[in-house]
Parts: sequence; structure tokens; C-alpha cells
Amino acid sequence: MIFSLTPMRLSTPLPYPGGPNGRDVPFVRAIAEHGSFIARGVFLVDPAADSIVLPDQAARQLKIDLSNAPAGHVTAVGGSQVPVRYCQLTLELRSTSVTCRWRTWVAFGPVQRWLLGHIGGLEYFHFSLDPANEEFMLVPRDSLPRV
Amino acid sequence: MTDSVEFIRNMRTRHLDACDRYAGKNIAWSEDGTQVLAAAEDLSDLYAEMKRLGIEDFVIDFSPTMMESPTANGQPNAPVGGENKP
Repeated sequence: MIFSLTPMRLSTPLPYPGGPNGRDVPFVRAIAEHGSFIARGVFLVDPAADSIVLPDQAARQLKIDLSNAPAGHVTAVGGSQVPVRYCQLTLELRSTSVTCRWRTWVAFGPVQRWLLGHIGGLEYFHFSLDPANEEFMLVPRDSLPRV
Repeated sequence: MTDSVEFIRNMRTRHLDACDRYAGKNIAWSEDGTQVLAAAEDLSDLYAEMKRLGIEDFVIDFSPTMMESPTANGQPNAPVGGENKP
């Protein structure tokens, strides 16, 4: 699956030669399913993230009760510890020719952005970034636990 | 239903404008990525607004206030390890 990179603007240009004022970021739209409920969101493809992370509000949209879900924490870039709870659900990525649906563990927490991290996500894909051509690629591996 | 490739292709042409208009806010894109349906600082408020509008098919996104890195603003939106696995 080949996706276009999405341009993002920097709040202030970097003090580099040429003063870049933006960059392209790998976003991908996905559908999360839990039972008969779905939530659609834009994932930031983040190889530095250990897991797939979704906002707490997405769990409410999916009618997921996290009160007894396994708990843990993730560490944000700023160093703060973010409490999360884990749950299994089905994710779907779709291109014009390929549909990937797989069951995986995700972390729900007080975050604002959907993050497609390694465990349960990118570990099942070949991911390559091509900023020069403003695109990135996600190729599902045979190990993807499709449903 | 619009596939992810087409959604991103549509969204990316409008993304810079959305970043400028809705910096720091959660955004609800239309299912095909061609328009922003609503925006709110709090994600719960955004979901409430979508319910008020009677719209069920929307895609949640977030426009950060600073973009040195989409995860570098001190907000808890970037796990970088130290996780407890289930």
C-alpha cells in the first residue's frame, strides 16, 4: 500500500539553511472495530512508539469498558508517564487494491492522536519512507494475523 | 467507502489550511477527507458535536500547535518505551 505523505507546518521555521518551515508526515486513515462498533481515525505512523495508542474517547466510541482492562504506562517524549489500559480490537487499513484487517492489542490513554506503533502494528508491515517522492509504503507481511 | 489512500490524497491538500485554522484542536474530517466537519479543543466535545450534528461517519485527527515534531510538545501523545506489556 502506497500512501501520500501529508504536509505539516512548523510553528516557526528551523534555523537551518533554507529555513524549512514544514515537513511531510506519514498519516494513514484506519478503522478500529470492537463488536459492532467502529471508530475512524488518522494514525501517525510512528516507528518509535512501542505500541498502538488510541485516545480514551475512542474506547468510549467503541463502547469498550476499560475498568478491568490490563493497565500499564507509556512514556511520552517529554518524559511524562501516561497511564494506559490495553484491549484487543480489530484494525483495518485499506487501499484501492489491498485490505488489511487484523486483531491486535492497543493501548488507550489520555492522548490526542492515534499512533501506529511497533507491537501489534508496524511489526507486521514493511514500512518505508520516501520524502523525496512525498510518499510512504506499508506492505503487509505474511505474519499479519489477518481476520 | 473511501479507501485510506484516497482519504489521505484528499486530506493532504487541505491539511496545511486545517493546521492553520485548527492548531491545537481535534478535528473531525469527512469520511472521504475532503472537508473538516468540526473541530474542538477537547475530544469529548468533538464527539458531542458530531452527535449533535447527527453525523456518524467521520475520521478523528489532531492538529498540534507546534510541529518541530508532532510528538515533541510535551503532550502525552508519543510513547517511547518503558511500557508494560499486557
